Amino acid sequence: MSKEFTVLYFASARDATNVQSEKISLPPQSTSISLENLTILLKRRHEKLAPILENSLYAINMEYVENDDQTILVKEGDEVAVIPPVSGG
Amino acid sequence: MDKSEIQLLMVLNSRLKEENEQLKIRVKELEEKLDKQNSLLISNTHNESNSRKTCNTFDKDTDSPNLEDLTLAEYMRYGRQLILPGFGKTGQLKLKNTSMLIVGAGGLGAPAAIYLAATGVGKLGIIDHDTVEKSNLQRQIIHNESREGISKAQSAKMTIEELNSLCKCVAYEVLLDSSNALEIVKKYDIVIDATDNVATRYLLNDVCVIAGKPLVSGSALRMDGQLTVYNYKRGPCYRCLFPKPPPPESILNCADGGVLGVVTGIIGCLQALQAIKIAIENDESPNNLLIFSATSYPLFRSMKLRSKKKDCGLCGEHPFITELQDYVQFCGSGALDKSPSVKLLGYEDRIEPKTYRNLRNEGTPHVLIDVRETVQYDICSLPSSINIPLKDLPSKIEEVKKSLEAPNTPVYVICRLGNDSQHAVNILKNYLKGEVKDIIGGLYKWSLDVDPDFPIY
Repeated sequence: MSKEFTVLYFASARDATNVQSEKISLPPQSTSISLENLTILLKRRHEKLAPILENSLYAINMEYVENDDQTILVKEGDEVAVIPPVSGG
Repeated sequence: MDKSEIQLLMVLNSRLKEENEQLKIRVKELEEKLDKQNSLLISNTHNESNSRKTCNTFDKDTDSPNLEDLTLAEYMRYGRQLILPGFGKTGQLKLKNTSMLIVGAGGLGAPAAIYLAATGVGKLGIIDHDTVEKSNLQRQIIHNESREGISKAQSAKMTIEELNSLCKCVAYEVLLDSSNALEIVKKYDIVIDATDNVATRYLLNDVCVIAGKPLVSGSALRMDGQLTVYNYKRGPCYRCLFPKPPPPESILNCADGGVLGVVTGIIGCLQALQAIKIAIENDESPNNLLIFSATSYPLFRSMKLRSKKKDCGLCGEHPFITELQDYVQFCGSGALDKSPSVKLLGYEDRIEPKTYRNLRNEGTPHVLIDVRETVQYDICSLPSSINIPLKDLPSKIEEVKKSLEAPNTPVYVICRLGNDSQHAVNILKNYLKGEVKDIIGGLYKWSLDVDPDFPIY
């Protein structure tokens, strides 16, 4: 069985993907994925998510990570949250 | 100014005069009541108050010479929170001596202002340039039906003064921008971002970093909300998290996206709570971004934030943003949550609602496409219209073509306000042989010009 992580979508990211969360398999033979590759993967899965990811935050296991931090890796069982800014009031 | 506008102003004027008279009477009543209560308290608790005064001299909490002590009326009023461990008299005194600025008297600002005034914050400033509209009342509970047409800042001040005359309230009927923000923000200890647009969010963030004020930021849209304190306890500022503004076309506002009133209420109340915790210096939690989602489980999730970003242009180690800028230009969108009127088409591609009605009555063959989202189409629609939401239109050209009697059958497009319909005409023009026009001003204008029984929402 392939190794999986979970992605949670909030606000406009949820509207764009039409799902609250989904399980995604790590690339074959790998035990982790970088944030850069995660972004590419998510854009490929959900076309409408692409512009939203430009301004969204990532949190891994509900801890904020800088999306240009190359040392950060998403591993099996991790929960990645995609959090776009909400600006209304 | 035309006749109807003058008439409206006159009605408004007399309504305001009436309200003013009523308020004067109410103020008098309240003052008399307060005097009575005060004298009663003084006679009943004379001995007690003497001993308390002595105690105060040794009370560590009140030894700051700047803190104004509580009055007897305040002990009575705030008793239920004075007895709370972790709040107590110390907390009440701090609140009394704290000033807070609420930017926006809308869905977030309304509950925040009500609770902050009720709890005994000494001074509340409220900024809003807008006036109260009927469509606000579903969530902006600080206003009411009789306030329609008057300034939101003034309306909020009226409610607050009725609720708690001990709270000093200042109403600013201005649009906050780079020219006035710093001067106003400097006068307050804590700033509450209860705005509805991206431009003002960046402006408030920058001004709070420059002036050194914590910014309690809340936002809400549809069924979702967020809460964060920026520029607080070495935590990040808004720019640390969102260095560049989202593209204007991707931003939904409450007018277009909708919002459930209680969602703004929940976030506004959390902003009030957070502001109180900062004021009474009782906030142990790490910097975090609280996410609320009414339709998810769990309802709340908290994302732990890091400290400020070292390379942040505003609050980082080598800042290059050192003064306020033009935020409307920076964000590419204005500080208004109203949908601006789009002018994509020339007059030859458009049709007035009245002209379209004549054409309908005459039985001219045509197809009417309504490009609103289906949830809106289901609220109300014109008979015999076809619903194809704008976002689906490019993939449904064949469906449109099939609906035409002849290849050159005219197609008319309608939406809510007459903006999306213009985008739709631009798409359809490329594929259709006959006339394609949008109905000017959409169903809103249809209701005004043609059918007063057609709902406006």
